[in-house]
Amino acid sequence: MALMTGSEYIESLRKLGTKVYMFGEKVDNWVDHPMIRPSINCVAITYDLAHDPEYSDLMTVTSNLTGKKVNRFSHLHQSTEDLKNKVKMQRLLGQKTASCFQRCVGMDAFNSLFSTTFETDEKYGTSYHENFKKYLTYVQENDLTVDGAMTDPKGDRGLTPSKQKDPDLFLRIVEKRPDGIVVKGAKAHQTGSINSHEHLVMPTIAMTEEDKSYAVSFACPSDVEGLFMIYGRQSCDTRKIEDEADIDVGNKQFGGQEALVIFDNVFIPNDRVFLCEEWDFAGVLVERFAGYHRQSYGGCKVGVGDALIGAAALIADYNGAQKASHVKDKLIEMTHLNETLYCCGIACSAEGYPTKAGNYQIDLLLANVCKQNVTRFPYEIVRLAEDIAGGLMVTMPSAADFRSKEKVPTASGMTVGEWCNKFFQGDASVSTENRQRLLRFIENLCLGASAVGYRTESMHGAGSPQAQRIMIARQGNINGKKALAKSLAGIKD
Amino acid sequence: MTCNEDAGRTSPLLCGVKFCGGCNPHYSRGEAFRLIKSGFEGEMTFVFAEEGGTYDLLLYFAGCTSRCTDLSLFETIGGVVGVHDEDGIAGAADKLREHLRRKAES
Repeated sequence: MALMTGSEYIESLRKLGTKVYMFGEKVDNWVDHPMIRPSINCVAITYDLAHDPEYSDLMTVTSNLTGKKVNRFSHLHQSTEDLKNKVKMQRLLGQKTASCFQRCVGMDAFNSLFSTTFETDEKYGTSYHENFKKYLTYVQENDLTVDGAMTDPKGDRGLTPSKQKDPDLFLRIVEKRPDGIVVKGAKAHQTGSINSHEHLVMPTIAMTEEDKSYAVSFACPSDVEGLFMIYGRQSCDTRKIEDEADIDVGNKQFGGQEALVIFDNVFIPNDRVFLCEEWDFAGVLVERFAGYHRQSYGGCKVGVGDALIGAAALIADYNGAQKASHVKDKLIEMTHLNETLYCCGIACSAEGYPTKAGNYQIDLLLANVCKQNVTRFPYEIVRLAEDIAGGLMVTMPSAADFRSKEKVPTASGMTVGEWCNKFFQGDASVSTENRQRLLRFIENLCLGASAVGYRTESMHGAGSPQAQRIMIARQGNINGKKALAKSLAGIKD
Repeated sequence: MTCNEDAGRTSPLLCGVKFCGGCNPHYSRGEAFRLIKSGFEGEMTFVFAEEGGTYDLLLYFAGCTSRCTDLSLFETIGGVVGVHDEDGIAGAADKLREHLRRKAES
């Protein structure tokens, strides 16, 4: 199959029997549901831009597996150029959507599983690498979106998987059959899971031998028997289902998506299994996936930041405050923070290296530094955007008030809409509707539905801040730095 | 974006058009192309460049000074005419015009 267009991708979702629940009920036509559709549009643009000559240089690449053009989201990185182009593609898509476009988790899972299965086979004589290559060829040839599913619900954080009161709080193998395995459990916070054709499951933490039944990786169709999803709420999400939902939504076209994905005794055939009880490789897989995903944030969040910085600069114009020196300085600070994140994304890519399997891995220390900054800088960028925008972004009446023809029985005899348009005027050359649109866009990113992707996902996605600090401690070469200091200080012991 | 409407016309010069990936362009590369193309209606055939293709000229639009596209995948007879900012648009058009003049003379 050739590369799909966005429309073909959306039609392909309709053919799936994915089971989705929201507000306590099954949603049959989830593709057209107004709360879900913006997130589908986000994935669709990853398909459309692959056909656009202005963007295809980043969006497509020649597969090392098939020799054919594939979407970069299903590619195995073959060089540091590929790693840098991944980050650049993510910045592009962040700029185009101002949202999470969801397809990165699959790409990061492909690359981490390609190298980990190779090394697992090397030690255990298993055939996971061949299984995985066959699977990824299928993904590339059909241009599929795949959810790289890692995070378990985890229950009591102080207990290992096998010590949990409920054994299903980490996804596990419950039965081994001659032709495959049966798995049970769940994956939480799953970005784009509903919009994915397939799920590619990985363990969530390093395991010990007593937890070996939790050391499992496999792939399955999103509509496989026993798999279903419960949609995650987002701040202000029901604005999308209001009558004439438009301005108040903030970003009507695009949005992110997370869900709880539940596996209730799902059968996985042997050729779709990529790790099965080889517990000592669970940690390797987690570390590699986390590394790639921490690199990713040096691209996608930067693109979203670009859109927010642009909105902040524009609202300063609309408010008539664009010449104020403190506003200019805040825009400089926002840009400095955003580009620092990009520097990290590019740096960890430029310092990448080939794995034993041949695909390229990012520099782990720099990728963790990248993500550590991402846990902080978008929050400061949001704070500055709110500072520039003013309180109106959260106190302004609804778009329905601005449209209202209801007369207010006072001396002027004006309608509610006329009063709103009178008092919410900024620069008189700018319509109040445009001012509303921009303020709602900023609200959406700072504390509305898209804040899920830009703020909290920046904090916890690809691992919470402490996870990066552990990796920075491991990779930081403190002993080497001590030796430097000793040498320079003339210490000889 | 369209490009190939000129394809098939008898034209003295085949110009391959290549855009960088557009991660963070500092100007509208598409607008720049449309502007240049409009100055050569009927005189030059513009086609989106394909890897392995051979062109009289390659017109390359980079979004920034990095100009990171690998252009070695394209064959050109007259070389590459590049644009990486708005200021370079007029100069690129001049270079195309010069190529056209030289081709007509030869």
